Amino acid sequence: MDESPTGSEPSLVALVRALLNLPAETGERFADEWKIVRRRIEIVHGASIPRETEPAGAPRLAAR
Amino acid sequence: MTEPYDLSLCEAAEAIRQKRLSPAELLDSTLGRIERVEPRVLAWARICSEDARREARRLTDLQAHGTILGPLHGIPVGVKDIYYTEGVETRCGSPIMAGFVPTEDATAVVRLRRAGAIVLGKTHTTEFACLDPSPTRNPWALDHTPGGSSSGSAGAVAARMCHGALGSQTSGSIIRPAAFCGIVGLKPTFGRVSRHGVHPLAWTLDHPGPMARTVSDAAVLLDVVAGPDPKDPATLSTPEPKHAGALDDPKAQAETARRLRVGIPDRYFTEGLDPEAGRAFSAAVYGLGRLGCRVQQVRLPALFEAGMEAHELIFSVEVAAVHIETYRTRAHEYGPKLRALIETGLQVPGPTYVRAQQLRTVLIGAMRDLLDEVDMLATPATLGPAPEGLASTGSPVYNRPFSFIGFPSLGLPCGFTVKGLPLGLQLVGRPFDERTILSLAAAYEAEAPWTGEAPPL
Repeated sequence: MDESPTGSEPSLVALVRALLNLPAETGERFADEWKIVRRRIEIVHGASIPRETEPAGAPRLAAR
Repeated sequence: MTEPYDLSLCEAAEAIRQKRLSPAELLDSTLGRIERVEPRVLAWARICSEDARREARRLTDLQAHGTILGPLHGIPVGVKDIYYTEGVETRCGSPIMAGFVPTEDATAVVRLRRAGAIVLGKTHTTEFACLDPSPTRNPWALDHTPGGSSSGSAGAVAARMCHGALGSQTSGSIIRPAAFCGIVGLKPTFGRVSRHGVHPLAWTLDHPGPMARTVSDAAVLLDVVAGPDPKDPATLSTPEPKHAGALDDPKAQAETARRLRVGIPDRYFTEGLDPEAGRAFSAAVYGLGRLGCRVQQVRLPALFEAGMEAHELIFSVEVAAVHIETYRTRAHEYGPKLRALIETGLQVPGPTYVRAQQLRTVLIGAMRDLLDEVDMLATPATLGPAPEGLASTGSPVYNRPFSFIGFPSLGLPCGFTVKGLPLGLQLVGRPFDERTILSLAAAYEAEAPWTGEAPPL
């Protein structure tokens, strides 16, 4: 399997880039970096985390 | 006789309070030092000599009339060039920001000025406080990196070109350069210091904080810049800080040290550790024991390492989000490392980002539990001394965990390599308990034979 997201599903990646209005000349593959990111994604989704866990970064609503 | 630039921040502030030294004399001495060493260290992106001289004259007049504005009256400081400074170009180490002149100061800069500090100029940063290096050199060995991203702040403080500086940390950007340059760096609890007016790198990971020559100097700077700010919601539920007072009394510091339990993590902070740094860390731990601390090994939570991967994912996604507007039209003006980070960040799925933030919540809870067993953690500040060359700023892996969970961490010198490069000790406390780590750090510093040593410039 191609390690790069732009290689594995080019049409989806192209669609996302178009939605974000990113010009074609950007979008370098950075294949080595992507291998690392891919491993990170697998690790994070492989970690045992209760579904009800609130993500960090929720609003802090101090009373005014 | 000690030159005024060579005084610590606290010593200089006391001399000014007692009218033994004027702000104008201190500034003259500091500008003279800059003239002599800056061509080799390259710590400053911009030096505002005329503004500084004008402010020094004003502060000298006030001093003559018995008015001291605050704890930093007449003290020259540096500000990392990602903090907005009214009327002074803020380039963030990037050509993209050339010509950007903010119309207001960052909150931390406002507070420095209000306390009487003289903002001497802007210190070099890596590109947008990220990975691509700045020109700054390590004052202890000019062919070595000073670390980053707060490269110029660390270099300027270590080289005695200012008495303190502001840096910022998203992974390891305060503690690592502080360790490489042999100074004290304090990454406060997330929310302790306002991010308002500090160009973001990654919103949920960014920590502004002080860098200084001594622990007491760092405590004074923290006191000045910390506290709630309506312009940064993360600061609004934080307690009012009072740290420096606790550091006035060495007896009280020694007493604090005697009742502290210090945890040494069972893993992670030994991976990749340079043997010399390992020996210096062991000696530092022995030193903490001699101060009366009860030192014990502690087990890091099972998810600790996964948390570090989550940090990197959150980091890349937020960096991509910060820069996407500019990146559309000016991608070619970004450095290669930042470009790779943005491109990979754009490809991380949304649910993965949320999952990484959930993992963060779990790890924060587990680390809170761990810090019920002990009062603080001690680790090496970096893998080793500053690496040779300027192409990389070294690894932040030992600092990243505490940027991820937001707990306060402090780095201070714990020795030198055989070649004369500084090594650092990192202390980590409970959220909003900077005071305890500052107290122990001050007690440790008071016993250390290298305290006060300056680089051979």
